[in-house]
Amino acid sequence: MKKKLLKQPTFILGAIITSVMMLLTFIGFLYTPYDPTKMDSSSKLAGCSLAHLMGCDNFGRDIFSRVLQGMGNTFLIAIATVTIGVGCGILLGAFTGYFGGWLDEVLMRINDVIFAFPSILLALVFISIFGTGKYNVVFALGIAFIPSFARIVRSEFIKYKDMDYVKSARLAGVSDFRIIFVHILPNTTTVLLSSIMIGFNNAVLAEAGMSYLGIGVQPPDASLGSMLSEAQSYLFSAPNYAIFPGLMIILLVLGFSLLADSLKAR
Amino acid sequence: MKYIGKKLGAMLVTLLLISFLVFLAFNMIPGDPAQARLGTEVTPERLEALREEMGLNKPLIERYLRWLVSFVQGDFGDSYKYNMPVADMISSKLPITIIMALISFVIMVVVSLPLGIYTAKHNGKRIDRVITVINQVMMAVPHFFLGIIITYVLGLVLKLFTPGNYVSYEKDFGAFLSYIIYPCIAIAIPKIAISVKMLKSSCVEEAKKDYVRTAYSKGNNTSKVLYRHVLRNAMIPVVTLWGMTLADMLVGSIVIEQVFNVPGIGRILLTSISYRDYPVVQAIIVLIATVVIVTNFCVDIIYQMIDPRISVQES
Amino acid sequence: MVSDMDRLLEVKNLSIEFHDHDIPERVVNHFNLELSKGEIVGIVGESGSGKSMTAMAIAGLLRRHDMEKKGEIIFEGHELLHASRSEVRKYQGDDIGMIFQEPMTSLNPVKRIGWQVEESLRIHKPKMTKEERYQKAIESLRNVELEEPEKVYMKYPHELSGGMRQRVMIASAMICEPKLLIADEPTTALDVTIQLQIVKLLQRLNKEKQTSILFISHDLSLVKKLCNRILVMHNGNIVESGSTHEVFYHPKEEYTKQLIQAIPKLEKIDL
Repeated sequence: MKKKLLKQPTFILGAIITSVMMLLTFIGFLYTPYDPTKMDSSSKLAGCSLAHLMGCDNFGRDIFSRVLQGMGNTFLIAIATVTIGVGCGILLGAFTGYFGGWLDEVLMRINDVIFAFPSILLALVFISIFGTGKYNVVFALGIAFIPSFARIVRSEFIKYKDMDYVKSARLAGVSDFRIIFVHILPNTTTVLLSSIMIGFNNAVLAEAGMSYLGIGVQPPDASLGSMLSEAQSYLFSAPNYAIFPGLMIILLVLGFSLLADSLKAR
Repeated sequence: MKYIGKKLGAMLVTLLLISFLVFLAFNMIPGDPAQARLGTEVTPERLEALREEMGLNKPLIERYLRWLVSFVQGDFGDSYKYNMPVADMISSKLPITIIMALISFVIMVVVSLPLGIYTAKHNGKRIDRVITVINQVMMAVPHFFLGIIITYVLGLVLKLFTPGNYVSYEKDFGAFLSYIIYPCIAIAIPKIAISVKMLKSSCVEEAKKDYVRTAYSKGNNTSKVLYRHVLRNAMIPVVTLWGMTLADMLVGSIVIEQVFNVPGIGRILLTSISYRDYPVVQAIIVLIATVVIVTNFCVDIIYQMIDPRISVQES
Repeated sequence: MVSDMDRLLEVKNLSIEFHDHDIPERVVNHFNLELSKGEIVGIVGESGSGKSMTAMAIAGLLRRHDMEKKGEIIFEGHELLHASRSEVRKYQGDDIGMIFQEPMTSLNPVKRIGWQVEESLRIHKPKMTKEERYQKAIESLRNVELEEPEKVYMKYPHELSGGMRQRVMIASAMICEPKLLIADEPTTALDVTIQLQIVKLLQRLNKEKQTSILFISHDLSLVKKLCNRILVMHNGNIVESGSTHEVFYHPKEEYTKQLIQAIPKLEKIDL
């Protein structure tokens, strides 16, 4: 299996892109060439140079440093979002799928309704109630992502719950709790893994969108989305200001989608 | 017919449920809407009078039903901030957003259908690999970034249009369309990529099925097999995707409106969110949800037209 | 030997080799067959013996890349194995009909039965009117002993049972009254009682329409009921051939004996 994965060009490319992006993100947590929030009026909208790899923004802040910080923010928000979505989704999907019954029926109806709703719109409802900001975005997107994960986990559990090995475990007196988490859940990892990656991508795109709209990460904290929104006013004089944050979003998403694709293709 | 009736019922229940959930959410917010409307320097008597007038002292269910009845009649309440009916604020803006979503949808269908079939026909060849790579990249591009790129390349460099120079559809529909087409392209491109990918893999999967062999055994040539047999089967998952995409496009146009300075529903939604102007937010959310749910209903109907197995499984 | 007049199909030295792996894999090796008009010939063998590949080759359904095909397939004097695809298509569905193992999946799930039964007519007899086609389809459906053919005509595959679907498959393969019907394990996926019905149906069609049948199966008892002659295949080679009687009662090869012994005892009494 592993050997086959390593032979796939999509997997290799995805792995390379993802590792580079992860490396940059982690470097960004520890070190940035400049203080991402330090303004310098002498280098306003400076172009790309050795001193400023990606140039400077309208306040003279180093774009590369801000991109690194923004990637960190985006990464943390996406991870936290997916954690909420996957955690709650697994619990909800596992119990409803395994036990079935009226509770399952009711929860899945509600789930269907929410699922039909675009997740950004749902997140907007939460934002408008709880206010803007980084943590509210995590909370809002996390909740918005629960239904899709619950759905996936539930259908996997329905598939496995009547299999002979589960039946025999039940006959042997294994508790339902143990069957759910020890006997069935590990079997869902492949399916779950690729949907986690896709979920991560959706979270990155959603966060970028919300920060672009000004309801996500708040200034002076950097985010790839809010940088794009600021950059738009200087598009003609400094296109590099918009291009680099955008490119980073694309690479981040592309890496994971290639990985998810090659996992699915197995 | 029985199937349609059943789906219609399910749609109405979903609509009620969504509207109730949204209503509930906005009524659980701490804070007093009457206070929000009058500000802090107000006598307790006036506050109480307004509370009574707004029906805030009534039980939740009663308030919901009242709200629902007036909502259906086109009365969406009054904006806290602008003290004017929400309906007046959004009635001229909603068409912009819907038109944008629809145009994007049409672009997507018109481009992705032939492109998907073309790549499926050339599966495994070089051109297929090139398109697949472009697809992968396009799927990773956020549509608002695409909007920015389009603004820069087509607007600022090639000067095909003037960014920010939006013309109202009431004033000049032709000029409106020729401006609106650019944001629509930005919305459509990532969706084109997804549907081409899906259509292709669906066609390739279907082509492996036994009925395809039967079709060949009758003397069909490859294109007849593709158009008369494979395509309709391959469209089934794609139609589902398209249904969900239309909803995404509505929301997508809210974001893209900001890129291209289009005064659609997105602008109002965002300002209302930042001013906590709940009646406006609530009305817009429920309206968009309604459009989404009605779309899903239409998809279900189309679905059943394509796949005769559906109605049997459901009943 | 068969005279040229009566000969419908002749397969000479057919070899098929797969090239989709590192090592080429030969699945059919120097296969020879003569089939005269009105004759029913059975090809018997276990799965992987190459019998289905042979059938697909004769029907012109093998893919064109990743495999090497040698030899000749001559149908009524026309060589088909190396002919162009458009040349082969003229025969497919018109002079050569084919039915398959899986009636559940061999029909297009989203098209009505009538449309699928008529399809060969639309391709090969474009001058026919809609009404003529309908009449012909109903006749064909009735001919395979389906009750209420008008109703079946309007149905979708999922509304029919496996046996009914296989009858529909036969009806659509027979609608142009082909000279050769290739039946690739047509009964394997069906219940035992229905298997017999299908075999009897094929027998009847053979008598009435003088259609030659190439019957591929691993079920010797069915082959014995239906076929005039039998070819036994093993690992891509023909190990034995001859009249049904000969092969069953005086098998020369050890492999054939084993196959005959493997028939369940109860059915053997029935022989």
